[in-house]
Amino acid sequence: MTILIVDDSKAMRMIVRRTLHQAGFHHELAEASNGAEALKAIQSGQIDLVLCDWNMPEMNGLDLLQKLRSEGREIKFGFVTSESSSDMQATAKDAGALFLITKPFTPDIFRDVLQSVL
Amino acid sequence: METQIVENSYQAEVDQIVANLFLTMLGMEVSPALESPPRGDDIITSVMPFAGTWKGHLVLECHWPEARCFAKRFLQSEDIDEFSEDIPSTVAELANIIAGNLKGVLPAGVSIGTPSIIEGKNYTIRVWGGKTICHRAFVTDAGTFVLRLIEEREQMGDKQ
Repeated sequence: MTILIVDDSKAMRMIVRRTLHQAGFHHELAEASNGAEALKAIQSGQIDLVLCDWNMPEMNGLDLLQKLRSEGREIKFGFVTSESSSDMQATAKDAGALFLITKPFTPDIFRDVLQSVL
Repeated sequence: METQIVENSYQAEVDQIVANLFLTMLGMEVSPALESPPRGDDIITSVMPFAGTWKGHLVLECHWPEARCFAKRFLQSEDIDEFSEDIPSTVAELANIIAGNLKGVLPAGVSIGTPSIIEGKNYTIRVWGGKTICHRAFVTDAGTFVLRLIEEREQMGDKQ
C-alpha cells in the first residue's frame, strides 16, 4: 500500500511522514508538492491513499479531488489542512473526501482517523 | 459585502491558537510577552493573505536563530544548519497554520492564500491602507516572536 502526501510545504510533508510512522503506519510513501504533481503521480502509479493539503498553488486539494472523481477514480482521499470550518468539512465530504485532519495534529489523531481507512 | 473589524480584536483567539500550535507540534510552551523585542537584524517574516469578505494579512516575524530553533523542533531534527531552506519553510508553515485556524473565527466568506517569506536586514513590511488590529508578542525558550493581524482598509488606488 502506498500513501501519497501532497503539500506545497516541504516541512509539512516531512512532518506528515514522521507522524504516520509515529502513529504506527509504515507504508510506502510518495510525495507531491501540488495538485498537478499529485494527479500525474496518481495517473501513473499505484497510489492507495492521498493525504492532501487544501491550499496549494497550481492545483489546490479540492480541485484535485474533483478531477479524480470526474475521471472515475475512487481512490481513498483525505485532507490534512490548517482550516476546518463546517463549510469546508461539508465541501470536502460532498466532493468525496473520507476525512479532514486539521493542523496542528498529533500521532493519536492520525491513528484514530486512519485506522478505519487503512 | 466587506466587514471591518474593531481594533484589538482576536487577541484571545490568537493566543490560544499559537499556544496550541507550539505545544502540539513543537513541544514548546508559549506565553504572551509584555512588549515586542527590538527588531534588529536577521529577521525572517512570513505573510499570509486573507481575501473575500474580509481583506488583510497575518504577519509572523522572528529572528533567524529563533526560526532555526523552531525548525529543529518542528521537524524534530538537529541537522538543520543556519542556511537551511527548512527554516523559511517552517516559518511559512507556522504562519499558514495560524492563519488557517484563525480563519474559523474571522467573518464568514474569508479565504486564505499561500504564504510569502521575506528575509534580510533592515526591511519594513507595509500593507497599503493597512491597519493593525491585533499585535501580539510571544515568549518561548528560543526567544520572542511577533504576530500581527493587519486589516486592509483601503484598496491600492483609492482616493482619500
